[in-house]
Amino acid sequence: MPTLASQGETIRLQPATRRSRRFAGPWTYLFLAPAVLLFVVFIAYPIVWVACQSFFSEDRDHTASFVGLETYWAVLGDPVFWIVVRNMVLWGLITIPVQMLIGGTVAYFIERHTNAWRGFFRTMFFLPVVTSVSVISLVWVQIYAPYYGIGQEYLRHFGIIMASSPIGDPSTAIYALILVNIWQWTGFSMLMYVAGIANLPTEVLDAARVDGARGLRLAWSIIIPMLMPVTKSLLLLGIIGTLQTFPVVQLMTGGGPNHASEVFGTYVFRTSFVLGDTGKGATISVIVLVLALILSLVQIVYLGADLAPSGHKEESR
Amino acid sequence: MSKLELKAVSKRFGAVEIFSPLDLTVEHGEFCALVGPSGCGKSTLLRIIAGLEPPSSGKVLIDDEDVTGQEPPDRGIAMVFQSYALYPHMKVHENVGFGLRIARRSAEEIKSKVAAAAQKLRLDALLDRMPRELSGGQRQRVAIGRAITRDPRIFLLDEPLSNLDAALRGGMRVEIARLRQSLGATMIYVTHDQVEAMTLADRIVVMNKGRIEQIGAPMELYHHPANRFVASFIGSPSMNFFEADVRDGNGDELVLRLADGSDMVVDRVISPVTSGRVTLGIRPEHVELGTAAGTGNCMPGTVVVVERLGCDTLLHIDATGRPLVMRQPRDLAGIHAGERVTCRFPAEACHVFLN
Amino acid sequence: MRRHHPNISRIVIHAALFALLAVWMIPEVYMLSIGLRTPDQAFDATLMAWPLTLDNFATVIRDNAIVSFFLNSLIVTLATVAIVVACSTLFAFACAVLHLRWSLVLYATLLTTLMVPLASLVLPLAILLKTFGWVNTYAGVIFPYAALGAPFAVVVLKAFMEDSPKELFEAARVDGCNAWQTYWHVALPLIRPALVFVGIWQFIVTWNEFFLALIILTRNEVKTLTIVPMQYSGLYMANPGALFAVLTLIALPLILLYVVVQRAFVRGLLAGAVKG
Ligand SMILES: Nc1ncnc2c1ncn2[C@@H]1O[C@H](COP(=O)(O)OP(=O)(O)OP(=O)(O)O)[C@@H](O)[C@H]1O
Ligand SMILES: [Mg+2]
Repeated sequence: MPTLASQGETIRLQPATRRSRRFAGPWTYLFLAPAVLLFVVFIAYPIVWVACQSFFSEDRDHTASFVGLETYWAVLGDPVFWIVVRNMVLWGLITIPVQMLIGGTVAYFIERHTNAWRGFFRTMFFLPVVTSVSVISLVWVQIYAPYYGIGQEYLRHFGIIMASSPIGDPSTAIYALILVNIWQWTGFSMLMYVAGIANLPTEVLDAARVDGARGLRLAWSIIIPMLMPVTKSLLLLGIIGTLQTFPVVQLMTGGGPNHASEVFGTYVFRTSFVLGDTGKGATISVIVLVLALILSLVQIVYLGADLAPSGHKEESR
Repeated sequence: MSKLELKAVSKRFGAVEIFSPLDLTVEHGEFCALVGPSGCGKSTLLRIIAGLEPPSSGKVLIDDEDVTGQEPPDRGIAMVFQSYALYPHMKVHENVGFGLRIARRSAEEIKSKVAAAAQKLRLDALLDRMPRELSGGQRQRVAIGRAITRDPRIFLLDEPLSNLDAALRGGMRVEIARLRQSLGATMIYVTHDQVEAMTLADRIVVMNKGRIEQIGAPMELYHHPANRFVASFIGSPSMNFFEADVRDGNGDELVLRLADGSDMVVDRVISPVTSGRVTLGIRPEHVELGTAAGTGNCMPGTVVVVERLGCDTLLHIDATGRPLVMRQPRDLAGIHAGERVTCRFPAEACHVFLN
Repeated sequence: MRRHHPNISRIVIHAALFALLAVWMIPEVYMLSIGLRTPDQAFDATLMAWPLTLDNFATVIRDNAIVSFFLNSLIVTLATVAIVVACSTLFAFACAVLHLRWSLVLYATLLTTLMVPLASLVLPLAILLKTFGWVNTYAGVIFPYAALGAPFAVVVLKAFMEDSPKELFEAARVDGCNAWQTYWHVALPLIRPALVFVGIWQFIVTWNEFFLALIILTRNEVKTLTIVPMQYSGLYMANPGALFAVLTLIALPLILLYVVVQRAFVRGLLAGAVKG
């Protein structure tokens, strides 16, 4: 400013005497700090640690020696590992679609065909989600129990005789656990679909009705396609949930009998904390981690990350 | 009351240039309207003045003080947003007094200032309501109230009436004119609506594609538009345009030949043109309905549509293939679609624009 | 909302929903029912057995320190929820409103955590917490829970803030707020429905977390409710009535809480807290 009158000078002093004000100076990076700190200490650092550890093997006298990919070959050669993989695939393939199907159907009827009872149904079907998983596990052990459980009692009415508990039989154990999981988490799918259906734009539904779409036809050709984003989120959450599976299995079968119902959680737990094999535990952890990342990347590439709008999609390319 | 100056202000978002360097001065106590088509950068310019958006280059001066890097409150501006932007979780009086609260003024001062603003805007009865319990016009008044409690040097209003229906808009227009008189503050007012601009403003800035096309008093823009864009933007219905060649530019009058071969004689005071291709423009209200063909400056045509507005009548005419609109302050009961008419262009009412 | 629906189909649909719900509630009812049985009915293979008795509940409440486990759960959960809410709202605000440089890169990095299964983190976390001396402390589970919960909260809250009209934040700036005041006076109240949703969901997840609690909380003084059923299943092997009374007591607080807050929870969900 070359030409400032003396009057201008006095005015210019004002801002300096005022509290200097910045809407968003460098200090605003502190907004990011707490979350980043948590992430670095409790997520990133452990991941790096476990990745490094997987290349070492610890001896009895606590000296670690570098063994390269040796533990990886050991894990991949372990038949239990492949049982785990099979179980996880089964788990995902069964629980996710079944939960979507039941949850979606129930949500559709609750949202479109009930009124006074809507809140009641929404709440009741969600209750298993909020019931402590350890409680659920013990209840289902009791249900599955031979002789005094109600499971075998009810099945007898349909002509099915169970000689032993389904969780005690290697061929059925994993399915019995999957059933418990479906029972617990269907309410979650239901509530997500409830939100999706409630948020459908009424104009579109009205337009479809004007076009003559009604009942199942409306559901099939309008509602289901428009709920695709919910379905995608549920798929993503379902895959994450599958890899997180632990408490139900740990409490009901402990991965048994004879590893028949082993999942990643129990496998890691047994290896690391029961058997104390840190190297192998770390290796399994890394494999699970890589698998989770691959699965979610595949999903994001093919379906887009609907849980994460806008920004994330660009970043993940 | 303050003076605002923009010096060579430009703005780009990434590689996209929104405006090339432009200068603008708004005098003390002036009411300046910013008009232009959608997307021409009016809001962006206003946000630069407010300090919500930094200019890519150039300076913003208020009362000769360079405020380019300052925060909005330090500039002494207040802004009324198109969407009102009332805080939905605060009652009306909290909304109006929020700026003072942030400035840590005393409770009594806030209270008295809010009361004063409320009285000025007739909001007294609404102070304890939530924004969602207000009508559009009431919300608008709260938004203005929020601006005036801050005693700003400059008011910035971004299309403040565009979310209201036509009737309410008329009422609020009067309200703003009244407010403007009682406050006497400098105001910069963005609008799409040329009627608002014409009736409220001391000066109008016409923008197009990030350029200032013309600055002037409303009547100046109406009578002496600097170019075809301004001519078409100001006035309703819009000015009629015809391509023409200059046939004779030597006398006191300009002779233009239109595409259909007819000649038009135009006062040459309007534009200093001597030769080449030009555009002839004439406002619908200046076209006269002639009867006899052949007397100069006439154009024959067929009436396509007649719109009777009550006081005025609009005739949409097909003038040998080109559309022409004329506005007559009579009800023209005898004229119907399909009728052949002759339109006369008075020489003194014609505008000539270089292509 | 529903118009002209034939009454017959309404009744059929309601009947079907009630029937399904009845089946769905069998495990919950069964749990309660065993807890209400006398010892000689305890092993009956029926859903309900009469008469009902509250003796089991009296016994287990008298014999056990359920309340202290409950308090542990409450402390761990509330602290986690508070940390998650604070961290994630700050982070989301920095991304969605302040548009800080690099914040989107950090956001994408944080997002990968959504996919990290706890199973692959327990081992390193256990060792890390041991070096911190945080085994058998509340902090030992609170901070990992918060770290694992924050990404989901950030995703939800960031999307919600991005959907809010940005003029509100600009109006705050014109009114003289700095970033912190905008966050506190405008952003937080504005995203309240989503915040309630995130808070309740984090509460449910944390209250029910089992894996890390099992490994980190081994002393009775710090154990949370979720990991105690195991020890009772050994203790009351021969007395299912008592065992299930304990289980009911363990499950009850969260169920009751959910019933109380479900309206706000669903409202947050409906307000678009979760996209799609
Ligand atoms: N943040 C941004 N990033 C990129 N481009 C932007 C941004 N904000 C505005 N623009 C572009 O700048 C141009 C001018 O926008 P602006 O909002 O100023 O228009 P306007 O004249 O106010 O239009 P309207 O009358 O519709 O409100 C538009 O083309 C718009 O797309
Ligand atoms: Mg605009």
